[in-house]
Amino acid sequence: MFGPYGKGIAKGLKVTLTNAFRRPITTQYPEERLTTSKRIRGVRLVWDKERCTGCATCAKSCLQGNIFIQTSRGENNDYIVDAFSLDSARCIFCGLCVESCPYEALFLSREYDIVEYGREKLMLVRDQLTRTPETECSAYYRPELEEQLPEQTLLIDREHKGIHLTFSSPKESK
Amino acid sequence: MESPLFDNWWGHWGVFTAACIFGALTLLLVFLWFDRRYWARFQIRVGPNRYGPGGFFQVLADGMKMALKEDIIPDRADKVLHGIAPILVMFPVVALFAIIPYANARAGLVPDLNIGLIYIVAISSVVGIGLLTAGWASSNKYSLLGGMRAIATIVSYEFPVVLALIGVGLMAGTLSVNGIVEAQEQNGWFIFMQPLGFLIFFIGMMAEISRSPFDFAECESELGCGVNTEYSGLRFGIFQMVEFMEGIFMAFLVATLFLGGYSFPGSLGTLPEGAGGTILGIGFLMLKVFIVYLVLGWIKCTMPGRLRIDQWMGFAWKGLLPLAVLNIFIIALEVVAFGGGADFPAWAMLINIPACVLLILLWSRLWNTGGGRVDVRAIR
Repeated sequence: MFGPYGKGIAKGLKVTLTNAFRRPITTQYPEERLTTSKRIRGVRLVWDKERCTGCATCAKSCLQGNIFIQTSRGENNDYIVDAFSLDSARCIFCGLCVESCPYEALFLSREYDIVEYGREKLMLVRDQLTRTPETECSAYYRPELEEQLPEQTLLIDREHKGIHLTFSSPKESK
Repeated sequence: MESPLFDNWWGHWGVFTAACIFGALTLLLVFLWFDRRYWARFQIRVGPNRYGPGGFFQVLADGMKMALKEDIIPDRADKVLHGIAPILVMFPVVALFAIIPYANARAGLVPDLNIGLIYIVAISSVVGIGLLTAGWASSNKYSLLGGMRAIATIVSYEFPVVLALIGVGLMAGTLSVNGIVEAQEQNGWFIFMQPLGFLIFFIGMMAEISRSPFDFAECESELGCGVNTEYSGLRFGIFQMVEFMEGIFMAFLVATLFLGGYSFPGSLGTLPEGAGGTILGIGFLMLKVFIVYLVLGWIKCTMPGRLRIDQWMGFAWKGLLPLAVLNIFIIALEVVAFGGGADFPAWAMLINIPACVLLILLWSRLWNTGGGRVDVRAIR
């Protein structure tokens, strides 16, 4: 019956007020980290030394030609990998090498915040890429890893299911 | 405060001039920090919390950044006016703090000035001239548009604000700001005595200090940054500071004119004499200012957008102005019937509150913003 006498504004004020009493959605990033997706394409390659046969399929599939692999003939007429390195400054983390590896020796890592002061430090060589028991590998194209990995933190869960945020502990600096 | 320093006119002037300037700047720092944390809460964020306790030093860091940045003056700008404009905008806002009575008739620079309300209206209009100067001197058409809009805001919203202030003066029987506070001590707060006047004053002042949703002098989405466009470094910082200081001053004004200023709420008695009473009075005033500021920030966060320009002018001339005239009319009748000032009866609010509700409902039928479309035929 009556026109705009301020009802809409009152409704808006109510909405903002209810939002003001919600818990902040902010993650205090360096201290608190949300658990990432299981299949994240992390910003590093993980190379399984035991499984690698030195076939160099990964190097052939790489669009940038980033992967450098050098092999020599071993005693049993197999390949010995002499050098394996990756220029992660040029890598686009497309995962083609992971998909093409016939022996499932390559993985993407779960790290997403590698920052260095110089380009030369982004040149990752053999030992920096080698898989150790502590290395966390992404389940990207490796679905068998999914069971071991923690559930991803969804911000929406807190509102709908009442689940509290779980933060992985801050990483120790290298 | 019986001391040779305060009894001496020049001593009083010196002390309170310094107190007003430094007090305003300190309040500015505190409220800047508070605003950023407070507005963040409405957006489910935390706000700056890294530097210092609760992120307080972030304000200082930003101020430092502003001061150290390069001060760019456009080639074809009017260099003198371009330089003067920030000062023209800044000084009236600081000068306005002189009129506020902080704890009694003597605590403040000129709280008992007998033309207090006229002083407020006159000085606060100078800000508009500063904004127009800034817009014109920038030699940028968008800056000029922003300046023009600032002037248009002040011209159209000054009328309802002044008329609402006349209602306050009529009811209190004086134009002195301290006299108005004392009248509220006796009769009750003017927010209850004349709610319509309060609403008109609040909306009009929000437009005058270009707060959201009336920030037409600086509409980021339409005019770049309005009058601020060609300013950088410290000068830009001054414009930002003035925006906040105007908000703080508006909170002071609303608290003083409509919420009883430094006095106790309702009929709980008057402030005690001496230093204790002074501190208590300042505390009460600051509490009220803080509450008004909370409401201001709340409204800003609810309406980050703007009205269209025809809606905005129509709201002032077709909505607020007739209501303000009717408000004065009702109050003047009451003053004629019952007597103003100390004689004004507190039960008059039983007439004024229903009158406020009725008038707003009636005006909501008479006036609308155009239904969300512009009549194209009218433009052709």
